[in-house]
This record gives sequence, C-alpha cells and structure tokens, in this order.
Amino acid sequence: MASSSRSNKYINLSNDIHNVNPDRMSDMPNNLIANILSLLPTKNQVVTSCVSTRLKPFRASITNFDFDDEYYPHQRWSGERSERFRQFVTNVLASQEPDISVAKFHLSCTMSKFSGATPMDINSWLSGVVSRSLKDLCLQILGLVPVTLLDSVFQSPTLVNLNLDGGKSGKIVINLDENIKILLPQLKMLQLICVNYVNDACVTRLFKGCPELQEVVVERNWNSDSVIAYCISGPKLRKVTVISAVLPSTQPNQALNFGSLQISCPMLEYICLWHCFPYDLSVKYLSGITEAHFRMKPHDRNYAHKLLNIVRGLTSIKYLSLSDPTMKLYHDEIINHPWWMDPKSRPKWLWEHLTELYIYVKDGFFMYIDKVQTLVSILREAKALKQVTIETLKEIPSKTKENLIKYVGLKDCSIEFIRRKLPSLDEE
Amino acid sequence: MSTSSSSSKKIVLKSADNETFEIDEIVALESQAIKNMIEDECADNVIPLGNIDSKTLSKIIEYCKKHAESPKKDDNADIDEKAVEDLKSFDAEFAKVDMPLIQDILMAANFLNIDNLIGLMCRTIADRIKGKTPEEIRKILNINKNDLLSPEQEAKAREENSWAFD
Repeated sequence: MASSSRSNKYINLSNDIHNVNPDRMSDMPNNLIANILSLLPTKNQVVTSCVSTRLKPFRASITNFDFDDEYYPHQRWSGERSERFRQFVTNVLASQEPDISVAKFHLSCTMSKFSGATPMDINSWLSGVVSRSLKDLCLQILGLVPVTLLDSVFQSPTLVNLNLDGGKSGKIVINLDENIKILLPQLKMLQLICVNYVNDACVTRLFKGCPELQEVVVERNWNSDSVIAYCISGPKLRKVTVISAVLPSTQPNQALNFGSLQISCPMLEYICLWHCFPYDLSVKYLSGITEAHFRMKPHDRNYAHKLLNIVRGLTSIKYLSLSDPTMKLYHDEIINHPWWMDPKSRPKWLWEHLTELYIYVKDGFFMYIDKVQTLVSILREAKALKQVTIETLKEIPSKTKENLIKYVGLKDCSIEFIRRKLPSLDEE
Repeated sequence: MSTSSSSSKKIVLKSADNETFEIDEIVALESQAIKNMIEDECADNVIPLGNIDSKTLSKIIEYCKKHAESPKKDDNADIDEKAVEDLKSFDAEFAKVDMPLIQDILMAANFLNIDNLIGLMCRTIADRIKGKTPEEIRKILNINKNDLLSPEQEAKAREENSWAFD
C-alpha cells in the first residue's frame, strides 16, 4: 500500500486502489452522506436509508424535508394512497431525533374531506418542525379542504423563507387573532400565492411582523380572498411582485372597483405588476426603483392615467419591461397627451437613466405606423439606453427590423429581436 | 488578471501511488486545506496526498484549473453570463464519470476542502439515485452484501413507509 508508511489520521482511500469496485459508502464520512441525502425528496431519502446498515441511521436525522403527495399534476385521486401518504409523513416526522434542527420543510398536499391528511395533521406536522429552528418553510395545499395555519408559524424566531401556496381555490387561510403577537424577526423572503386572508388586518399585521423582509411575491385570487384594502409595507422591502388574477367570468370593470392595493416601501428597488388592478392603486417611494416590469391592462382612461403617474415617477429606472397592453397605454395616453406633445413639459428626465428596455408586443403591432412611432419616440428619448429587446410570437419581417433600427438611430444601443415560444400569462 | 500575476509560483502534489503533479499555486488555492497549509507556512515544496490516487487527483486538478481561471462571483456583481454558462457546462461534462470515481473525487474533495466540488459530486450522486428502488440503489452504489439490513428490518421499514416504496 502506497500510503502505509505515513500517518493515516484522515480518511484512507488507498486500500481501494487495487480493488475495482469497493463499497465506498461504508468509508464515506457522515457529513457527505447527509449532504447527498439532503438533496433528495424525503421519499427517496427513506428508500435510500433502507439499502444498508451504514445508511439506515440517517433516516432519523433528516434536516431537509421535502414531502410531495405527487397528485399534482398527473396522478389520479386515490383515498387509500392519500391515507398511506398521511401515515408516511407522520411516521417519518415521529421517528426523528428531536434535537436536530430542521433547515427546510417543504410539503405539497392535496386535501380531501374523506381520506388522507386533515387540517389538524398539517398543523401538527408544522408545529413539530417550526419548533426545531426551521429556516425554510414551503407549503402547498391543493384540493377541497381549507387549512387555517396555526399561529406558531407566524411567531418563528428562525424562519428566513416562507412560501405559502393555496392553489387555484385558495385553500391556505391566514387568520391572525388580534391578541397574538406576530413576529418573524429573520424573515427575508415571503411568497403568498392565492392565500385566503380572513380580513384586511391580517395582511397589515403580517407585514408589520416582518421587520427584515426584503422580497415579497403576492398572487391574489379575487374570488377567494376577502381583503378589501391590501397594504404591502416594510422598512427593508426591496423587491415587490404582485400578480392579480381575475376570474374569466367577471367583467373587468367589476374587478377594478373591488378594493385597493397600496405599496409603501421606502427601500423599493424592484417592482413587478401583472394583470388587473383595482382603480385604487398607489405605489409610494417610486424614485428608488431601478427595475420595473409592467404587464397590465389599462381598461379605460382613468386607469391609464393612474398607471401613467406611476411610470412618470420612475426617475432612477435602469431596466424597464413593458407588455403589449401597457404599450397601448403609452400610445393612447402618453403620445396624445398634452404634456408629451409640448417639448418643454416632456419629461425627459423620466428615461435618462434607462439602460435596458424589454417589450413584448403582439404580432399586429408593427402593422400600425402610429404604434411603431410610439416605440421610436420612447427609444429616442432614452439616451442612456444600451439594450433593447423586442419579443414577439411571430418572426418580424427583416425590412421592419431594419427600419426600426434606422429610425431609432441610437449609436451605442443594440436592438435584439426574439421570438416567444409559448403565450405567457398576460395573453390569457 | 490575478491568474498571470501569481502564476510563477508552483506547487507540487504527490499522489498515493507516488505520481507528482506540478501546478500553479493559484490552482492549488482552490483547496481550502492546501490554502491553509500555505498560509501557515507548513507546506513543503512537495505536498504528499497519501490518500488520493493519481487518477482521482488528476481529475481534481482539472476541476481546480478550470475554476481558478473563471472569474469569481464575489469579485464583480455584473459577472459575465457567458462565463457562468461555460462553467456550468464544464461541471456537467466533468461529472460524466463512473460512480466509484465520483465517490473517490467526493471524498478527496472533502479531504482537500473544495466546497464547489463537494457540492457538484453530492448533486451528481443524488441525481443518480433519485427515484430508484432499493435494489437499483444498491447496484448504483455497489453496496457491500455484508452490510444489508436484515430481512425483518427491511420489511418493517417498507411497511412503515409503504407510500415511499410505490
């Protein structure tokens, strides 16, 4: 053996040099085995722990849990299978050594009234892991039974990332009692996808309880969530994304009259607004925003003016992404607006920091001379522009591309044309 | 760049089967363990690695060379996207080797304390056993027949966790 003469206080692989296929797992340090297992869904962690006595003990010291009942999107419902999933999660959690802290708990569960996990099961699993210094909680509840989350989730001193997904019908319910103190002192990232809040105060209290929050993604389902005034605030919030979905059967104007959305974050740098919004939309602290994505549908003049005022306030913008409906707003309201027509009142400062522009337009866009002119005027105003990306569904004729580049006439700016493969959310 | 300024200094690594590898110091510094040795001035001209064979060591050097040449993430916020992509595809190609070699590289990387490489090898092993049955996993990892659970133990585990074995 080559290394036999020297001290072997570290792992020794040399015994294996002449043996083509030894069982290397038996020599592998615990930290590496734990690392490998932590990258697997819990189902696979448990199966792997059954292959040898070396791997067996790791089943009781799992730090990354990832349970998915795998119904969504392909499996057919089976009461018997759901029941076994419930037992599996319960058994695995019950067999853990209680002193090991949990880094991650991900659970995706489809709920039924007749079999499988109940809201009580979900909350009992959650309370077990939340009390073990949990950092990352990701919960997806699908199916027909709503789950009201227990208070301790919103009082965790260790949680850094919280991701709640209530599925299409909003089956995660947040009901924060006034007498309970809400505090998530470490929380940095919050995602609230189709969550059902019992009242407006729940939203406000939740944001108040997250002093370190940096990023939030909210997707609202007008049908299931009963909030009237939705207020997003936070002293350290830098990134805010709000996606609002309206039911296909609802008239646009009905949805617009519904409630308000207020974003009030002094450190805001990034904003992304998708889809439909109430008339009562207010975004404070616009001047620090460097990146903005607008994919909104201006339903009428009033609404368009609302949006326009937001865009006018973006004095430090560096990256701007506009979708076709938002471009329509520019055409109808900006270009024909008196303050745009008059060079003195034209807000040149609006675009002077803009370095990158992305727009998505429908295929007919380049058929209309006036629409193209809108685009050209925006591009000409933005002197700092370095990169323009124009995305379409169909290929744009090369003559049109050439003309556009010629009209814009920006020396240091490159224009890229790309084709989108699939229609996105704002296509419907 | 930093690569050229310090490229003059060489480090020699010696494998368990007594093969020597002369590499730039900057490449060797990808290993936190070697870095500590150099900083503590307890590294001789030749660093003997008595528990790493030459086949494994040459793969590790190939990895460290590539990663030492690439710009570091913390150097610059606007890191070149192409460089990131390039490194990703290098890593993907690098991991296309047989399981015993992956495990040897993993244990050696752990010994040499090369964080990125430990992560890459762990992910590679996890990807290969993901979704497999116990029988398939035993074959992939070449589990020793003397180390199997007793039939009773295995039956109990399967019964308690039947959902996971569907």
